[in-house]
Amino acid sequence: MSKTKRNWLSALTMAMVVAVLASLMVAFPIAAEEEVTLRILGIGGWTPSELAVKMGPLFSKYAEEKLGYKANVVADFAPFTSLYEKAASAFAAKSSQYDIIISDSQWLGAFATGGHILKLNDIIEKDPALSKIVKDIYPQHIASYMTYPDGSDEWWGLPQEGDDLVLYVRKDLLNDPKEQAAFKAKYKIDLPRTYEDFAKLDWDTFHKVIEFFNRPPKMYGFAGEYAKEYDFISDHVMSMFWTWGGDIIDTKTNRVRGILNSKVNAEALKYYKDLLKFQPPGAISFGIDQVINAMAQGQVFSALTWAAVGRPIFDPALSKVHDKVMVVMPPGKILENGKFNRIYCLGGQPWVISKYSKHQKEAIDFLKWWYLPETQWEFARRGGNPVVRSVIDTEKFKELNPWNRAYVDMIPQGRDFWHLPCYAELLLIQQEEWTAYMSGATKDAQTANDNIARRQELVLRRDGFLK
Amino acid sequence: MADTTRERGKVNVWGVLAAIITIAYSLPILWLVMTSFKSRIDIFAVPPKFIFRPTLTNYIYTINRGLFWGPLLNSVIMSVVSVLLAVALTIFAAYAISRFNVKGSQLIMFMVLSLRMMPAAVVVIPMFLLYRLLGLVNNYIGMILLYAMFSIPFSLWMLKGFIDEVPRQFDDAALADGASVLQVLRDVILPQLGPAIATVIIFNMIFVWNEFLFSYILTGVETRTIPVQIALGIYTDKGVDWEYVSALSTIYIVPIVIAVFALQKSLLRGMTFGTIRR
Amino acid sequence: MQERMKLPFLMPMLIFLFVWNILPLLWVVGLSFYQFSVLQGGIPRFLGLWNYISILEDPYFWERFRTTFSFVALAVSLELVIGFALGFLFNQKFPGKRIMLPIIFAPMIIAPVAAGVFFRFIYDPHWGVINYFLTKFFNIRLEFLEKADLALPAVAAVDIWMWSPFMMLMCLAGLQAVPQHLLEAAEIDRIPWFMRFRNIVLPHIRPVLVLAVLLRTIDAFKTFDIVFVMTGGGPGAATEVLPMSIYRQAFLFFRTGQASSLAVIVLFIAVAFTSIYLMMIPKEA
Repeated sequence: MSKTKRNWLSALTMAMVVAVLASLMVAFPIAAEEEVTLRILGIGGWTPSELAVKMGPLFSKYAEEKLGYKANVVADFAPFTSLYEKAASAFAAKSSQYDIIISDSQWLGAFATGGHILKLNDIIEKDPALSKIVKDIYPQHIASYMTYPDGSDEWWGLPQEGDDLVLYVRKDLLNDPKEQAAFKAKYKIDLPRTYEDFAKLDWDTFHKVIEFFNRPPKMYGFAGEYAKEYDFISDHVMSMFWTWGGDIIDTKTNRVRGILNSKVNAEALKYYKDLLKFQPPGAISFGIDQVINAMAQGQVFSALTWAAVGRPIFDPALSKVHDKVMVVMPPGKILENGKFNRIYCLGGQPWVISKYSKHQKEAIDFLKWWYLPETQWEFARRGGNPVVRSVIDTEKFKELNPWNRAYVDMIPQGRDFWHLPCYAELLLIQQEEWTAYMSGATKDAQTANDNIARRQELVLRRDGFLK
Repeated sequence: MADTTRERGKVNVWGVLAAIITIAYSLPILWLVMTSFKSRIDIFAVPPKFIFRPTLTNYIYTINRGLFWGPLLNSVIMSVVSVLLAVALTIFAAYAISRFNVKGSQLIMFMVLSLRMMPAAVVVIPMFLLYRLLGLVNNYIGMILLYAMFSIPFSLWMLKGFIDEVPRQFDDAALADGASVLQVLRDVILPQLGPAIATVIIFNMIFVWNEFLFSYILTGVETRTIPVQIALGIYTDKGVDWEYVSALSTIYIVPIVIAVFALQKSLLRGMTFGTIRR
Repeated sequence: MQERMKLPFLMPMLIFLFVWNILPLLWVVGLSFYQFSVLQGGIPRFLGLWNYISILEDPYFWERFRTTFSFVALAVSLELVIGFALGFLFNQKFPGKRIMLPIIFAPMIIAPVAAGVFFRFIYDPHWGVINYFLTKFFNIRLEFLEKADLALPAVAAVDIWMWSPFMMLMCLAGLQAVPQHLLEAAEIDRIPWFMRFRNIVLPHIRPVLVLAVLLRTIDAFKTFDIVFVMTGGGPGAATEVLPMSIYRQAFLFFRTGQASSLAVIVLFIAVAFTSIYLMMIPKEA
């Protein structure tokens, strides 16, 4: 037995001991916590979620001055693509790591029936300030962000931000007299220029506009969401369906067949696919972030995306076109009966309080603070979209950020979709079939919609939602 | 004489070809490392920039963006501790299986190997059930035990193979001198296994270091490891955060690239689970 | 006498394995006969074999199987060809090999997540460096991860990049076992190279290569990380491999019972692979 070998052995043993000790120390921190740390799980890459955390120090100050305790708001972020998995698996494991979760409105069903989140009715009723706030929220926002089951008065979340699909367009090009003349010469109609022009605009005319400004490879006409991740393509395709006069489900009977796979929906789906020819290479996998990039880099003339992402597009540090963009309502469609129809997908998220949180009282304090008028105004000033009507229904708010007017004006024309616990499955079926159609795996639009109707009804029937 | 010159000429052709292929093969990694030293404008430049002014901003930004030291430390601690634990446990078992007449040793080896052959997406389901029951989700000890368990199959196969190669006469001589089995293991076998154990440890550490799915499902903020942070941190409100991804990935693969140089000789044996012993 | 140490030596590991792995696996086998969701909670409802029947009757399950199979076939066959070629090349004598080999081996042990994320950047139709060269020299632009028929090969290419070196490593090991004197004798006898290859080289490297192909097949069958970060199974279901599907059942739909029965099916496949693998281990090694 040589000495070096013995040394080697004792070194190994030592290393093991040290490593185990080190891990124990990390596992059981000695720190005595006086401070309450509220952890919010938010959406990575999503301005409103990031603002909620960036405004955390304001809450710390408020808590110390008004509530008499020290609080600290920290965040964990997961992108849209994995947020549901992160949140739901934390809930399923009954983990106390998150106190507040920024959830999508469609998840309320799954979280509420599983008993993972606090029911808020009692809390709101007992608190005069919160009751007042809830009376100050649009009914469709209450229905989408707070309520499950649909049509009941059980409240599970409060709206963290309101959101809807809006259209970002390059006003510098629209206001260029040379472009206007060329457009008039080509199409015999005037180029839409103002917010009001766009408010009346239908897809037929807008199609001409994007065709006109489609000048590859320097600039393309349009960018929309087509990605399979999360609900990216669904939000846009469903918006087209609704605007075309179609629907995706009968909310009373949960019947899908004959509704989602209607003729008009197939038409709308094909229309949305055909728009790809006015979009940059790779647009077929664009999600929210890629659309922001394309718009901010000046790569596209227009982008159909959320009001929530206005901040990066108007941020001089991130955007090449920060002073050249106008935000308008997206185009509508003139239906066969001559009616102008415009219904787009509602965005935005509620936040919910975890039943496993060790700081529920502080979490409620945090929400109360959030809905104070000054906090809501601060949120708006930093680029977020509040939902409280006494804030957003003012001219001051509509003038505050370039996208605010379109955001408020689109609220009555927004529509939310299923809150059912099997939402994730319904969604994946759509994402799969619609991206299969966009990528060329499914040849025609009707087949894609037929597949969805059939598969969704299987899921709905299995879970007892469809008789 | 003429023959050797012809040989030498050939040699260079092969060498040049091999060099070209090696360079081509390393291009993706090279591009990653280059990207990590570019400014955001250069990263998104069309056409791509091959010559640019290197900058360290991405690294400074990555370190300061939050969730950098935590996951890095977690990755290091989890890979080191769990692997040491697994090796400590398996060394005895490997010795027993190699030396003693263990009934069902074939079955043990087989079971352990099937564990390695199962997709992570399958094994994560029972682990989630167990950890949910025990309250071990987002728990350090839980993660370490988990990775220790998954390091066992490889360690057992490798260590058994290595112990098989130590001639039995060594044991017998020591035993005849009155040594106990523990003494034999400590004084005769272990010293012979020095480099072998090092190999096993490094290989296992690489597996743990690279592991994604278990960490993704079972960790929380406090226990998250780097691969999960790469996947979760890819987006910020300015779009896809390539600065962050490239810098973090570069930091993350440096130890791995160093490990290949260290492992050169035992790469084959390690990659085949010790079933090929050259 | 020393046999008495058998149990104390073996037991800690076996108990740990049993509690930490075998028990939960048995639990999963049990759950596979129930309807249960870890997210919705509640009492599991016994379904008998229903979960299995519904999986085997589901055309989408078989489609995922086909996707997985195409992925494995594509990746492993190309890895074999490329690895073989590299193996022969690096079996020649030339200087600098010591530096070149580790560089080629490096992709093998890079985290698949890092590789996947980064290849997304390289593949990007607009900023990506591959498309830059494609447009420059051939004037085409390929949407690798966006088109239904390109996505699977594009993901497989990453796997091929990572794992061809493994085939090469195995091939090199095999080639070293080929007796040099036989080759020299054959050369003197002017036997054509393909005959030499078939009759002398191949028999010696075959056992190693079989093992290599098998090991790669098992690993490619397990592929999850790259697909997860590169395409998320899309577009459509073009890259939706089986592990991806199981993951979704378990942690997106939280249909834990159904996911368990899928897991049990894959478990059997893994055990079968293991048996084949053990049979193929060359005896002399």
